[in-house]
Amino acid sequence: MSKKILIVEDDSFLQGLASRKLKAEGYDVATASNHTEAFNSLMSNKPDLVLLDLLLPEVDGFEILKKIREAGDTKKLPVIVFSNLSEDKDIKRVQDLGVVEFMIKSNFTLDELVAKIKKTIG
Amino acid sequence: MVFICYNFSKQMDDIQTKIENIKSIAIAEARILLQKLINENRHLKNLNAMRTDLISLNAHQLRTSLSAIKWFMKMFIDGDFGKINTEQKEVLEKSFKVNEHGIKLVTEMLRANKMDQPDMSYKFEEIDLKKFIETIMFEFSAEAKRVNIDLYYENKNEVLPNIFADEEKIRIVLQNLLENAIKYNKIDGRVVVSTKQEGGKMKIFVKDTGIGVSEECKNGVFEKFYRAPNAVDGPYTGTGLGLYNSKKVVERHGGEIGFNSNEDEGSMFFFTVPIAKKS
Repeated sequence: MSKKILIVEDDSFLQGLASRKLKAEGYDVATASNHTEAFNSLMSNKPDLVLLDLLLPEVDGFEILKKIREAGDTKKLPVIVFSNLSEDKDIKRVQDLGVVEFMIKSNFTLDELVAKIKKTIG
Repeated sequence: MVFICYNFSKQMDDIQTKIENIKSIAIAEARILLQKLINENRHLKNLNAMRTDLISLNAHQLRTSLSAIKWFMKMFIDGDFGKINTEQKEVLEKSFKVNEHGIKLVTEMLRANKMDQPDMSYKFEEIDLKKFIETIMFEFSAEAKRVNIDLYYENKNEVLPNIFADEEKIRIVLQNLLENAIKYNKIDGRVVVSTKQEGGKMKIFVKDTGIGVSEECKNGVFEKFYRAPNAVDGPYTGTGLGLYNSKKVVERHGGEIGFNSNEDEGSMFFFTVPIAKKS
């Protein structure tokens, strides 16, 4: 059975590219553009990994990550944060909440993202 | 006589009163001026914070667009959207490189923006200098090999003292110097890294056999956005921010950064960092 990945990204173009690449790699992909869609998808799709952007409308990725870590069933869910925020304080805040990796979008290609996902969930 | 004394005493009292009045006025004016300065300083600090936030926000948006282009082009090059011919691939690969340069420019601008903040935090710790140099040189070994540059570390058999530095930031300095030494070198050139202890500091040298810096350009090398004409004219891409950022980092370490160079013969850049006390 395919592994499920939830992409939380409000930029539709980036979301589309990542989705297409991951589907081509054989993953079952769900997408969300805001926190409401993200939590609905977390409940219904039960993803094996979340790709989370930080700058999102209304509720940002930091808050989403915090809630993921607070909830019992998603406490240990692997999360890869991908963002163009690169301040030390942002990276530290995310690391303190527990993530597999903090990836700066402009510093990697989707091949590298796929490699990281494969290493994490297969 | 009594009258003269009385008169003199009265004059002294008047002078004293006048001095007191002048003093009071001067103190009141100084207080107003001080308050004005405090307000002006606060205003400038707010403006500076706004400028930093604005640059940061714009850079973030710019990086998002450049990321999209990067991901998209790489997928095209890899054939994710269907097979492409050799000519199309070449054009896309060139465009990819141009985009990478744009990303680098934005990243360096963000870094310069951060470096300009006097309250930017530094996390100083003891660092194994030899391991630090070897790790960074290893990162550049593939690029040096690709352009046929002999990258050599002169002190590999020596025991070096540990340094006291912010590893993440001091790394930027050696990376910039190595990147320039390779980039602005000549075919079959050489880059030599060496170290020397000078009092309580370690001096790290990066010597190349590259295009060098002309006498008239030497003063501008560490200035923001400065690129020497022989660097701009050649096939080299650069942002003019690498050495500016490096200087800021070295200065925050209480060190010195400089260079000796002859045009068409090569350069030797160096910087100093404090030795850790236990070493």
